[in-house]
Amino acid sequence: MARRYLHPLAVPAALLSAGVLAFEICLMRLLLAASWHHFAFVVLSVALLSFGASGTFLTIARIPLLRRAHTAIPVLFVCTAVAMPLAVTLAGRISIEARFLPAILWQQIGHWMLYWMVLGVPLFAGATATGLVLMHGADAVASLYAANLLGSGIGALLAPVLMPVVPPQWLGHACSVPALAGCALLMRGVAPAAARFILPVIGAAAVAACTIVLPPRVGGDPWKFSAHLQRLADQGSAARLAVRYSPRSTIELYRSDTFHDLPLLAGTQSPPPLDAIVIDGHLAGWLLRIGSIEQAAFLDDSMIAATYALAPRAPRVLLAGETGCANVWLAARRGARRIDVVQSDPGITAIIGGRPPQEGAAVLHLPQVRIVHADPRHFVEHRGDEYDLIQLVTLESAPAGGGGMAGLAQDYLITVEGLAACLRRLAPEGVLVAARGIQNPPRDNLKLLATLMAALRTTGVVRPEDHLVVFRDFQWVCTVVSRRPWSDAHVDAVRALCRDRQLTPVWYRGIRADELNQPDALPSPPGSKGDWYHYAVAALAGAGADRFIRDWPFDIRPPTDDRPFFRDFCRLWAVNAMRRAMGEMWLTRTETAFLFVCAAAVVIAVAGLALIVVPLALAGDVRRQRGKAATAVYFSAIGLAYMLLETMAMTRMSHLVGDALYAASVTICSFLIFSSIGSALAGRLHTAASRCALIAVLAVPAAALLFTMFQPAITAPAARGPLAMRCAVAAIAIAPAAILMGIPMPLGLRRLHENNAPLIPWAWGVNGFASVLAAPLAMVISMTGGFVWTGLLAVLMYVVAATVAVVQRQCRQSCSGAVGNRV
Amino acid sequence: MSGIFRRCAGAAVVVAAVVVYIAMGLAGGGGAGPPDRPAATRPATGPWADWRGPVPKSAAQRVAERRRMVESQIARPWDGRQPVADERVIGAMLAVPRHAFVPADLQARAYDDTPLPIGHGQTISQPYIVALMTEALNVKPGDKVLEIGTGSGYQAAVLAHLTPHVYSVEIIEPLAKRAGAALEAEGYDTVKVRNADGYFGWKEHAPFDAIIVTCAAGHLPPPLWEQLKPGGRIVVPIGGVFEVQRLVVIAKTEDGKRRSHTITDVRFVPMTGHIERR
Repeated sequence: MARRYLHPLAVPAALLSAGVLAFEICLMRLLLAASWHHFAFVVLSVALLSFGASGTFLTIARIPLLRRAHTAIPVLFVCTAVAMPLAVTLAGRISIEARFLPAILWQQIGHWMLYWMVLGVPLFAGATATGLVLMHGADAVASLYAANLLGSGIGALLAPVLMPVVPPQWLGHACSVPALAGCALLMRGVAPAAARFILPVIGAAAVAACTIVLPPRVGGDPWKFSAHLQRLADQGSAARLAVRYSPRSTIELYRSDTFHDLPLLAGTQSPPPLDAIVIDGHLAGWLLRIGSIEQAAFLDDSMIAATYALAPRAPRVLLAGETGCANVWLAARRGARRIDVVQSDPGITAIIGGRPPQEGAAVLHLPQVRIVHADPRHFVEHRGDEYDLIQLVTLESAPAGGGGMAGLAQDYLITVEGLAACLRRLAPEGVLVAARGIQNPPRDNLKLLATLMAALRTTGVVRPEDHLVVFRDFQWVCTVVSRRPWSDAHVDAVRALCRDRQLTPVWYRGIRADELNQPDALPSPPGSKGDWYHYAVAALAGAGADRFIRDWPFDIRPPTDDRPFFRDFCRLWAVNAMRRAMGEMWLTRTETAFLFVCAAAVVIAVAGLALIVVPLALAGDVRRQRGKAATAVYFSAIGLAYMLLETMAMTRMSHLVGDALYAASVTICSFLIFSSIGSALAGRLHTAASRCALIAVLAVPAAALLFTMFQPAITAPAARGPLAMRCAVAAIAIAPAAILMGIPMPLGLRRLHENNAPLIPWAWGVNGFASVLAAPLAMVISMTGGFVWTGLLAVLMYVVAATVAVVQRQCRQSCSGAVGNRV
Repeated sequence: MSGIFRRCAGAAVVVAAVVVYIAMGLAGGGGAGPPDRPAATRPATGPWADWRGPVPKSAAQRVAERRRMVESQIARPWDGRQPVADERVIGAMLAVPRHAFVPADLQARAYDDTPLPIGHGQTISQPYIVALMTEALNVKPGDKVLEIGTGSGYQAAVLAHLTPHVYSVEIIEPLAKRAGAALEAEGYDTVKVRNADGYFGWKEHAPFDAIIVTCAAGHLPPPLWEQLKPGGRIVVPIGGVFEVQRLVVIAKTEDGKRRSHTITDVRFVPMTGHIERR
């Protein structure tokens, strides 16, 4: 039974853990700025790999470290604090590229591996310090572990607080402060008093010196838009006007006379001067430097303007995900009586609002415009009104093949359920508009068509093809969906539009073969005059729709809330066909996101085995012990299950909270804090550890299933409430399962401590390895089959752990019975 | 304890070997070679490729490389893709020293069937794509050609073999200077290179018979359309920075209307799961 006192190492350990976990989450922010995605699953895996490697190191070096624990622990605290900013600075100087080119593939992979190794160093140092604390305070391991979890939970809350106020390149410095504070607290028993602060001061001085010698910077992918902006700025052709930081993003506004790239224009007028809105280095939209509706006349020639002819007059317009306001000007020009602009990041509105009215800000003050800061899907489902025209602005880009890391992004608006929610918001004569660039071979627009048709079917439509109008030019495809079947008058209007604007019709009710594929011809299916988009609508409307989707060389299955990866098009079986056809260039034509995840899973698994499992298995103390296999199965199963359930909960809570980043923070924080409560409770349980562990691992899947079944009912009433309430309800929904999930680990360790203590490092190691593998594995499973399979695998793992616990308990009982008989 | 150290030493050797391998990759060069090609025609690739022999190569070696490039990638492609048939284009591809427009650290891959990064966020296109674009432009002797996006200058050099009137615009100043210097060094004095915003074309030399736009915008720039003669054509390679997915050839009819068609190098038949080169 643990003594009831606050261990002197508890608070410093909590502070260190807070700093380490805040750093871990800030790495996701850093990667958003430096690369194309936050790579959360890789960050988690690198973190856990570092933790596991530290376990291996502690196993090998535990005797000398424990002998000098009073020195080693503070030194490790300082090393962690110094390593954080240094790692960010060094990583910023490594060029990482998310677009892999055959000619320099190995060089690019090498840079990535070096990047992760550098960022893993502070996590390794922090984990080593934490592990040494747990080993040194073994008599109070449960409360120290609880302090570790609690501190980690606080760190998860600290990160979103830091990110709006601290630029990404300085986040390492900010996260080092708790570690230095923890070191100062460690030394509070040291005399003389002046000596207490020597180490923290040395640490702070080291951080300052590194900062002066190597100023921190984010670095970045040289192929991002931000790199192009830097090149223009270097020659004096571009300048940054404003910048804002938030947990979600870094938003910048740039000006250059060379900006003209407004999409979907199709006329003879050039756009006016533009300012570029850049989010995390990516071009997010254009701010037209105009001050009145009259100056936006050139937009009348755009492809989107054509869709207003198919909507009711003076429409009520919803622009989902609008960033640059061009569509707002267009809606105003088309006589919209209300324009709701839904944008999840208030920083965009703020940065536009900071401009003079004649340079674009006037659009925010048009009387019919209402700006709503909300997730578009959340808004459509819970807060929207009825609209005559809904434009899916988030889709308006022209991605080329090799969708790259965009395939990892989860988009809950462009799912069957999300589009069905949009359709339900339409007035009876309303239209839904989506435009997207043309790719070769087609994929994006086919997936969009399949998703729209599936969404129409869920709203009760029998012939979705009668509700579609599709037209294009040589670069863009525009799809317009109506709640009602298109009338003959509308079809005639579409014909006239295509003729007058030189657009190519793709699909409408009654389209003739001689209308197809001109004036902009695209490759046709064999024996057909139309293009592949026309062919696809016909196929998706017929009995062979499933086969069409299955046989397409890209993944065009309609995304669902369970598998919300619209921009992931990878088909593994098509990779071979691409390689045979394209040779080296196959990599640029295949969607790399899923391949990146698979490769990351393999590399992480190999690294985990090499750094954690194999060294531990070969360590003398461990090698000689019996029960390694059962220990490995139990601890790896609970490690895998914990991370898989956490990943699944994160996505579920995204729906409720309506913000992916806050949902991630709330989920991680809740799991850590409530698990720490569970761990602390585990330390107070007097019953045999094995029995308690068995109960816990059986209770968790039950709680998870109950969570899955009842979570929508529990959380739905809060969906309309403010963000804080939604976060609180999310935390409460997670609490029961999370508390139970905090029990198996310390109880299992206690059981080992009682029966086979030398296996404790082995248990830590395999648990760490399983946790490392869980993050990319969760991504692979969810991108393939959906998050529900992730949850099911987690439940299965708990069942496996329960089975092992039962078998071990019975073995022990029969062994002790046999000994008793002999005695 | 000595056992542990032995094992750690062994692990250290393995780790060191991996680091050396990665360092070789970081030193440059390397990629997976195309599968299932006969050894005689398959170029040596991968991290060991640069160890075949010293660089730079002799002029005769480079000529031989160009012949192999044209033979296996353009005129009679090894993988069954649609060959480039225009003899003038083939002659131009044989004549232009591609390696003169490729950075020093990628000289060994100058004639490989792949785009190469040239710095400043740009690439030099795959030789086949350059040939395809040149053929699509359908340049006749004496035609006036405008290129938007000089990049390395290689495409401009190829065009210079078809017509003496080549005008090229590059927005990135260091690239414009470097391309201009490379063109001058190789004797392409007829090519005019200008550091400017290509969106507005080159009004002083308009109208043009053909325009090639290597940096596709979100729309067809109206100034370029105005500077194109009736009967002329614009070629726009559309795709990511490392790849060209398709070439869009936009023709301006005599009455000023637009007609376009797409040239791709990949054909697929989804119902059979078959993907092949055109």
